[in-house]
Formats: sequence, C-alpha cells, structure tokens
Amino acid sequence: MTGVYVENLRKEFGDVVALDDVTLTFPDTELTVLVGPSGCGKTTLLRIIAGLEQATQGSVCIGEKDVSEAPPWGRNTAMVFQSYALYPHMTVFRNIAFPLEARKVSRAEIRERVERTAELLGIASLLQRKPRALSGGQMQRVAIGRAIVRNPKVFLMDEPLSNLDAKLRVSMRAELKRLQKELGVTTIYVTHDQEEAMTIADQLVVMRGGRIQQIGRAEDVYFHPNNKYVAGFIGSPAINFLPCTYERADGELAAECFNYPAPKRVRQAMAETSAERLTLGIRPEDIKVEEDPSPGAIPVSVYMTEPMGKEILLTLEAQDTLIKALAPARLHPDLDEQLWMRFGEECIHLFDDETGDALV
Amino acid sequence: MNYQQRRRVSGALSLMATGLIAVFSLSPIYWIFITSLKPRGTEYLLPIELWPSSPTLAAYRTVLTELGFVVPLRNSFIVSSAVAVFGLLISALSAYAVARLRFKYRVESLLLLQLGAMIPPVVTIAPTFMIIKTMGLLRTLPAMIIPNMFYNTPLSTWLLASYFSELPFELDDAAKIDGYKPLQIFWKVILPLSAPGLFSAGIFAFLGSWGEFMLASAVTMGIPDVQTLPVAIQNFSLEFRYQWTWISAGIILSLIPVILIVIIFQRWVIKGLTAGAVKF
Repeated sequence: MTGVYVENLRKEFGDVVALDDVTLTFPDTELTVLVGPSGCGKTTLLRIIAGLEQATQGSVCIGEKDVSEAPPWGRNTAMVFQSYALYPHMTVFRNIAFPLEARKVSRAEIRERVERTAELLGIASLLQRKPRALSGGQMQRVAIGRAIVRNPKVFLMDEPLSNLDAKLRVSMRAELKRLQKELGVTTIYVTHDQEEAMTIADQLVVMRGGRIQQIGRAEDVYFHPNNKYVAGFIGSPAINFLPCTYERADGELAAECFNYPAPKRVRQAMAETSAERLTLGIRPEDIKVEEDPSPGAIPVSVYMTEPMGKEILLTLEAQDTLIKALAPARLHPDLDEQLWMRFGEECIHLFDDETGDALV
Repeated sequence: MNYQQRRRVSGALSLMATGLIAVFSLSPIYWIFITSLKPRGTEYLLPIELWPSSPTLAAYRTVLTELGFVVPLRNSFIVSSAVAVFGLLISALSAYAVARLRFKYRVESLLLLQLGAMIPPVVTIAPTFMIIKTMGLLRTLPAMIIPNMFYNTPLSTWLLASYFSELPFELDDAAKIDGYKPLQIFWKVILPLSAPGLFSAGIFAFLGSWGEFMLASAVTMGIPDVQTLPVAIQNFSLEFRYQWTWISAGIILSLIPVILIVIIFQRWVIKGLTAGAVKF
C-alpha cells in the first residue's frame, strides 16, 4: 500500500507563498495529474514529495512512513525530468544502471535488470551510446528506464513530454499511460497542458496560486467544474463566459445579448443565494448553431471562422458580445452571415462573480 | 577618408599599439636572453649592446654541468605538481559546496576566501615561516607545497565554482533521487564532467607556484637539495659578485617548461582566464 499523502503543506520562498495549506491524497497505483498554469505550485509540490525541497510546514507520507524529514536519497522515489537530466558522461547502460549501483546490487543483476528494462522500452540497441547521440524521444525513454529499473514506490514526473514535438508527445502519452498501468506504481504527473492532463489522469488535481482548485476524475472536472477558474482552464477550445444577472421576478438570466429563461435547477440554486453578479458559462461544443431560426434561438452573425478539420470553430457576434461555438464542418458559413444559436439547459454553468464558485 | 582607408589606418594603429606593448613586456626577457649569451664580464659594457658582439653558450654549459640545474628543476616540478593536484582537491571540494550545496552565506564565504588573495604574501611570510618551523617541515619540499596550495586556493576555488555552477542543476537532483549523497555526487557526477575546468585551474596552480621565490628562499635555508629553480638560480654566484650570465642562462632555461605548458595547453589557459567573468 503505497499511496502518497500530504497534509497541510505550506512552502514559502521568502515572501512568495508557493503552496498554501495543501492537503491531498495520491491513491495507490493510480496516476494523479497536477495541472495548472506556471507558478501554481505543482512543480514545488512534486519536489517536496521528492525531497528536493523542504516544506515550510506540513508533512509528507509515502505509504505508511512519514518522510517529511528524510533526504531524497532515502525516499525510494524515482523522477523523470522535463529535460531528462541524463548523465552526459555515461553510456545509456550506465545511466539506467546508476540508481542500482547506489544500492550495491550485484553486477550480474544490474546487467539483467537494465537489459530487461531497455527491452521493455525499445532502447536495447542504444545501450552503448552516450546521451548526446540520442534523439529527444530516445533520451526520454532512457530517463523513464532509469526511473523504472529500480521498482520505486512512487514515480514522479515533471512535465516529461514537454520537450518533445507534438506528434511524439501524443504517442508517448499513450505509452506512458499503458506502462503505468502495467507496473501499477503510484504516479504523480505534473503538466501545464490541460489536454494531456485529461487524457492520462486517473485523478486530476487542478491547482492555481498554490491552492487546489478541484480534485476529481477527468470527466467530473470537465462537466462539473467547481469554480470559474477550473471551467476556464479545462477544455479546449475554452468555455465562453458571459456576464449576466438573475432577474428573480422573471426567473430569467439576463446577459447583455440575450435573456435566457432559467431552468429549474438554476432557480432552485438562486433561491438559496443572494449572489448578484453572475457569469454564465457555456462550452463551444454545447452550442448548437443553426441556419434557420427556432423558438428560443438567439440571432448571431459570423465574426470569424476557424476550420479545424472535422469541425469548424465559429466566433459569433451577438450585440457586441463574442461567443465561440464548435459546429460540424459541413456548415461553412460566410463572414457576417446571419445564424441562430441555441444551447440546452443541461449545458449551462453558472458562477458567482464574487467568489468564482459554481452555483449549479 | 573612405571606409577602406580608415580600416587600414586603424589596423596599422592597432598593430603599432600591440607592437609597443609587446616590446614593453618582452624587453626584460630579451635583455636576459642576450645577457645569457654574453661572455662573462661583458654584461655591463657601455654603450649597451642590443646583441652580443661575440655570443657564446658558455653560460648554459656552466649552468647545466657545474652549477646543478637538474635537482632544482626536479624540485620545482614536484612542488608545482603537488600544488596543482592537492590544491585542486581542496579547491574543488570548496567550489562544489559553494556552487551546488545550499547553505546560508554561500556567496559570502567565497568572497571571504578571496580576502586571502588580497593580502600580499610579504605580509604573511613571517607567520608562515613560523608555522612551517613548528610543523618541523623546514628544509623540506612540503614546506613549499603546503603554503603554495593555500596561496592558490582563492583563485582555484573561484574558477571551479563558476565552472561548476554552469553544469545543469538537474543532474544533482537526478543523482539525489537515484540514491546518492552529495559527496558521492561530487565524485561520480560533477568531477567527471568538469575536466576542462579542473585542467584550467590546475595549470594556473602549477604556473603560479613555479616562480614563487620568497617563501621558497626562506624555508629552504640554503640547502641545495630542496631548492626550487628561482632560489637555486639566485645562488648561481661566486663569493663577491652576481654572475649575471649564469643567472640569465638559468632563467631562460627555467622559462622553457612554462612556455611549453602554455603553448600545449593554451586552450585551457584561455578558458581559465575567461571563466572568472561568469557570475553565479
């Protein structure tokens, strides 16, 4: 049972608070992704778990052991770095063998384990090369090999795919996920790429400003964001935010460009709160764009079109408000063409402008 | 003047300036060189001869056969090599701490070390002599090796610290996670990657101690067996007069290893000269 548990972690760098009271469980055998913008504290959290940084306050437990005071070389974790951090003066073989050498494993066993790991990752033919003779993808595999050869309790990955080109990134993502499932080791993965986070995470942790914004499975975070920030960060193309107010008398949501009759769940939620300024959130793929008007449809004109292959991203204008909508490619409208948009009431997100929290 | 003409003129001026500086710097050596070729007794002739009228190699012959050049040469080599190797060890460990370990007053301690370089050796020679005497090392080679090691430490440590600080920090992180403690990381990761820096620092240490005269003269106390070249050369004299031709020949001969080293290792010498320009 080796999950990771951090409690009340706080990290200050001088005046800067990088982590503010973070308590989090990383479940055993699962791949947890820490996602957020630069400076949100995800890498700091990872490094504290690794032991490369000391928390100002709080504790870290790996399995049953409290390792808060333990040095990095005693924690039995393995880390894959964004820049791979391979030892330039050693061959691939020695790079992978290096962690085993620290533990006084026999030469024969080292050889056997390194070769097995290299086979698994498809780099057996590269064992005698030095890092400078490898491509980015090969270097990444060596870095992964160095991490897995040891059978550590936890894998820590700090944006391991960020330095690879887009196509390689996508294919390695799937391989990493598969490898993690096969090995069954608790993994903590840091990335700023929300798409990457969604595809590989068993558990997703959205961070911002040193605090956790939301924890959950990818679908939960996507369809039920806790607050405006999470809704805006997760999802590509990004969600549309429309400032609006709730007209209690009419039971309507009034935005600048339209009035929308509030569905029952919205009315129920609004009954319990006195929030005044609201933000309506609607994802581009939840907007239905039609060429003919229908009841409840809102007239819009086409401001911009961005063809994306199987879909087309339309920027629609409704009385000075710009809204992005995803439409099927067969609908290729002209600029300034008059269209109508509708959205289902299940797709609406509503946020309190003051706190950012989701109301619905 | 047009562009071409201006370039040529400025090129000529640069050449002249360089030539003047070269003449200025090299003229003492030139003087010593021609003095070494003059017959004994003709060193002070006026008008000053820019080239000896009857050059002779007699001085060199005397130095190499009668005056004992080999022993001081060997001593100088031993002392300078030991200073380079052991001094590097100390400097490298200090530099590693400054560059890669985190502790309070990290940068300040490096600067404090530089204070040592700012004190002219003539100020410390008496206490150093007393320390050597108390250690019972007078009239031995270590008497010159040990102080020179520490004369050299400020510069070596600075060079190596700035070199180490250019290595990616993630290597340390990776090694720590792989299970290595800082001292092991020093030996297995940082040192192997620092060969150029170590070389430069080593060469500076070697050359720096090669020409050291004051301390060597004091601690060898007239014992020919342990004298280094500068001291031995100074003694190339008869009872009442300095034999300038012999001394000059000795100087020229002792310059040869230095020139050879600088020519062969000039790449690293230049690296060492510019390494200090990096901030960290």
